[in-house]
Amino acid sequence: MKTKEIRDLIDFISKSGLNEVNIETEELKLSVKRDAEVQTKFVESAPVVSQTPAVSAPTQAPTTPATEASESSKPQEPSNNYLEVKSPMIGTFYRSANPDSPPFVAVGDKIEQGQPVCIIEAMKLFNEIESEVSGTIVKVMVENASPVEFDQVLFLVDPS
Amino acid sequence: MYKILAKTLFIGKNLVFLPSCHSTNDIAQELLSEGTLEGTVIITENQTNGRGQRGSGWESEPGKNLTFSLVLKPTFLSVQQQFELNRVVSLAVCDFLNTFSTGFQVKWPNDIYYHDRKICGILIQNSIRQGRIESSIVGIGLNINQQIFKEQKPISLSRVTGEFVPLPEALEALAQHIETRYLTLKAGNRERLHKDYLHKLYRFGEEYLYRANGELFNGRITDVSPEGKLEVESKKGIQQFDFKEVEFII
Repeated sequence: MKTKEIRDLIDFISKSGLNEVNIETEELKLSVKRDAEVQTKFVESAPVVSQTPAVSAPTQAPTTPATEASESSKPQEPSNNYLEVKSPMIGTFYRSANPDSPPFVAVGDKIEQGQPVCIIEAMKLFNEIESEVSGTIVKVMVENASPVEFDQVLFLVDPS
Repeated sequence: MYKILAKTLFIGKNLVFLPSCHSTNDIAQELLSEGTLEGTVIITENQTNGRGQRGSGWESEPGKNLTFSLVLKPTFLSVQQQFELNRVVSLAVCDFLNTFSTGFQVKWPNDIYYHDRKICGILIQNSIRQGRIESSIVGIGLNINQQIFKEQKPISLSRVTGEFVPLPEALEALAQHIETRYLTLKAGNRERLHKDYLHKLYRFGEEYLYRANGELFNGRITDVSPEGKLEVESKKGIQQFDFKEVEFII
């Protein structure tokens, strides 16, 4: 396996939300484990990517970049301060009830326990998932319309 | 025109009739948030924004067909067992239609076909709280008296039998069948449902053409797993498919 391939693989794993991956073939044995620090770093960089409003924000009032800045400083705290909304099942993750309706939640939204946060579809059964925690959505961990595993983290929530 | 159902135990004891509405599933969701009881039925003559699975619509001529939603609270099922709801409802629709004629089958996972033509679509929406199924909204669009369809493919019960079927009676009979199957599930007799589902399964056990990963192949449906995956035997051996991973070539 070439170095680039390994790098790509690690890159892929880091984006996948998996905490630990072990790959073993005839020619190599690769073990990747995400620790708390790495995860913090990951959380820190990601909201900018997933948050499209960032594109429009700089042209708006100067208050918006300020919020942005305070938001990006927050992830410096250890990630275990955040609560996780996990998938109760295997299926396909959707952020909205229908393709033409707005997402249930977005980064920065305050959510209450019991509030629907996403849909997970499996075998044409549509499951509206209620959050078990309250707080502010810090990060959406999964792309819309992508597959999720049981217990996979879907959202990070700041309870404070 | 629809009255509270008399011949059932719990389905349709609370019945909401709306001459027109955008989606009975959406109304059911609103009623659920107000704490409506299990068995509540919301039925309309004219569903203006009927939905199939994500994004696809459901075409139904006003006043001709059954378009309704049923509220269930299958809290006895784990999230992993939810495919049972597809089995229960699709079997019940089949049971109902088979009282008129043979030839109705379940096309995996939950469409009802008369030979190669669709007669009924089912859309089930669950609410998951604390990792448990809190409630379930079963939306059913069943073609009864519609004669002409914009597309060639769909068919109605009346097109099969040549007779007009009064909708309130159809609803009551269908509700009874759903109740029977649902109570079988509640009693824990999943083996029976599994067996009957395979027995009624469209194209079960015979060789037909399928497409997966862009490739056409001949295969034979051998089973449907507890979580609802379709098992197809082909030259490659037995493969399990998720919904959308395999396409029936009809």
